Amino acid sequence: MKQSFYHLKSAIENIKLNQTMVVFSLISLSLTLMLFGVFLLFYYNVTGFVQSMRESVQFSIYLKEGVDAPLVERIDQALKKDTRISSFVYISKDEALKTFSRSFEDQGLVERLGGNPFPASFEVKVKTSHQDSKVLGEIIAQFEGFSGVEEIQYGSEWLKNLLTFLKLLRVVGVGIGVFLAVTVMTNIANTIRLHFYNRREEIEIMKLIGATHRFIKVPFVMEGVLMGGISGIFSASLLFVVYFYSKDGLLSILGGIGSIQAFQFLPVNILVGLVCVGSLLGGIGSFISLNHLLRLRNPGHETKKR
Amino acid sequence: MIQLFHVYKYYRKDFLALNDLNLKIEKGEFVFVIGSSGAGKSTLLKLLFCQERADEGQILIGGQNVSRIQEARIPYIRRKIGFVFQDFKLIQRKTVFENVALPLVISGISRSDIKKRVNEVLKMVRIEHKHDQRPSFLSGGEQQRVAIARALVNRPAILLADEPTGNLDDELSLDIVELLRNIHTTGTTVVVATHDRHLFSKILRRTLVLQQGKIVSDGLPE
Repeated sequence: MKQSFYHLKSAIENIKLNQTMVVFSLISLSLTLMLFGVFLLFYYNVTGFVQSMRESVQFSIYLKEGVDAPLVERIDQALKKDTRISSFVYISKDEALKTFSRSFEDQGLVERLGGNPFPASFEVKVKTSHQDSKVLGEIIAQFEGFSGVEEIQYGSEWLKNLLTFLKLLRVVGVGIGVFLAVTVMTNIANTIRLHFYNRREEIEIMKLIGATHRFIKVPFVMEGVLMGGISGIFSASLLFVVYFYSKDGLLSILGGIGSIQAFQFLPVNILVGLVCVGSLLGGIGSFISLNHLLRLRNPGHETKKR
Repeated sequence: MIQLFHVYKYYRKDFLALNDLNLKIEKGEFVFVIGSSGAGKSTLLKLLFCQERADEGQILIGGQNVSRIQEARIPYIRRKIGFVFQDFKLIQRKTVFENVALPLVISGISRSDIKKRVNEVLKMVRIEHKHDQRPSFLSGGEQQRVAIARALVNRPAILLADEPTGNLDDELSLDIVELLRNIHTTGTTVVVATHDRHLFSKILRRTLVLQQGKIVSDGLPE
C-alpha cells in the first residue's frame, strides 16, 4: 500500500517516456476495442429485438365444437401444473366472437356470419427459459393428446430460425471476442515489452538493490491497465460518434424487419464493462509479457552450471 | 558474519574463477580483497551478494546459507547487504534523492521515514546539497558518494564495494576510502575488492590476496 503511489508514479512516467509509442498503441487498441463495441451494439439490439419477440411467443390450443366443461377444466388444470408455462388464458366461443366483432366496425359482417364460427381456445405463453423448439414440441405433443383438442397453432419454424440465429450470433460473438481479446493482449504485451527493454538497465539496478519481481512488475501491469482502460474510454466515445451519425441510416434499413422501433446505444453498464475489459486485458497482457521477460533475465539463469 | 566453505565457481568448463575458497570474516571487520584482473575478486563479491551462485561449497551470511537459497528470497538478502559498484549503477532519470530513496521504497518504508533517512545518509556522505540533481550533472566522485549513500540507507550490517575507486582519480579515491573508513567505525562489516594499491596502503586492514581463484595471502599487508 505504501508503494502504490510509487508504482502509479512509475507507470505514468513509463507512459510519458514512451509517448509516441503509447499514442500509436492507444489508437490501435481503441480501434480493436471499438470493433468489439460495434459487435456488442449489434448483439445488444438484436437480443433486445429477439427478447421482445420471445415475450410474445405463444401458442393457441383450439378446442373442438361442443367441448364440455369438465374437459376444459382438465386442460386448464394441466396447464396450471406445467412449470414451463408462464401464463395462459381461456377464451370461450362467445369471447372469441366478441373480440372479433370489436376488431371490425362493420357489424353487418358479424351478423352475416350466421351464428358463432369461432372455436374456444387457450392462449398459452411459454417461459423464455423453455423456448427452444424441442421443449415447445414436447409441450405441444402433450396437449395434442388431450381429447377435445382440435388443433394447436404456433409459429414453430419462425421461432426455431430466430433462436438458431441468436445461438449463431453468440458463437460468432465469443469467437470475435476471443480473437479481439488476444489482439488487445498481444498489442499491450508488445508495447510493455518495448518499454521494459527501454528500462532494462534500470530494472537490473532495481533487482540489485533488492527489488522483487513483483515490485518490478507492478508499475508495468498498472501501465497495461491504464492503457487498456484509456483505450476502453476512447473506444466507447468513438463508438458513440459512429452510432450517432449512423443510427438513422441503420434504422431506415432495419425498419422493415419485424418490430424494430429504435436502434439503441449500449447502456452505461456495458460501456463500463468495455472499459473494465480493456483494463483487464491490458493487465493480463502486460503480466504475461513481464513473466516471460523476467524469467529470461533471471540471475539464476546467468550461472552456467558445470 | 561471512563464512565460505570449499567454494568453487566455474565460468566455463575450463575456467575456474574460485577454487576451493575457505574464508571467515567477523562482524565489524574491514577487509580488502586484492588481486589482479581475473583473480576472482568480483566473483567473490557477486557470490556474497547472490548475484551469482556457487557451483560447489557453502556460503553463510549472518548464519544463513545463501548458496542454497531460493531465487525468490534473494531480494530480501540483498536488502540486508549494501553494495557499491565500480560503475555506480545510478538511475540517470532519477534525482540523487530518488536514487538513494529507492532501497527504502522497495522495502516498503513510510514516506516520512524515507525522507528522514535519506537526508541523514546524504549528509553523512556530504552530498545533501545536490539532492535534487540528476546523476549526469555530478562528478564521478559525487556519483560514487551517492552510490555509497544508497548502499547505506537500508542500514545494512555488511557493505560490499567492488572497485569503488576504479573510475576515480587519486584525490577522489582517498575521499571515498575515508568515507568507507567512517562507515566501518559505525560497526558495519566492510569488504572492499580493489586492485588499487593506493587504496589499501592508506588504511592498514586485513587484506586477502586472490590469485587464480585461490587465497594466497590473508592478513595485514607488509
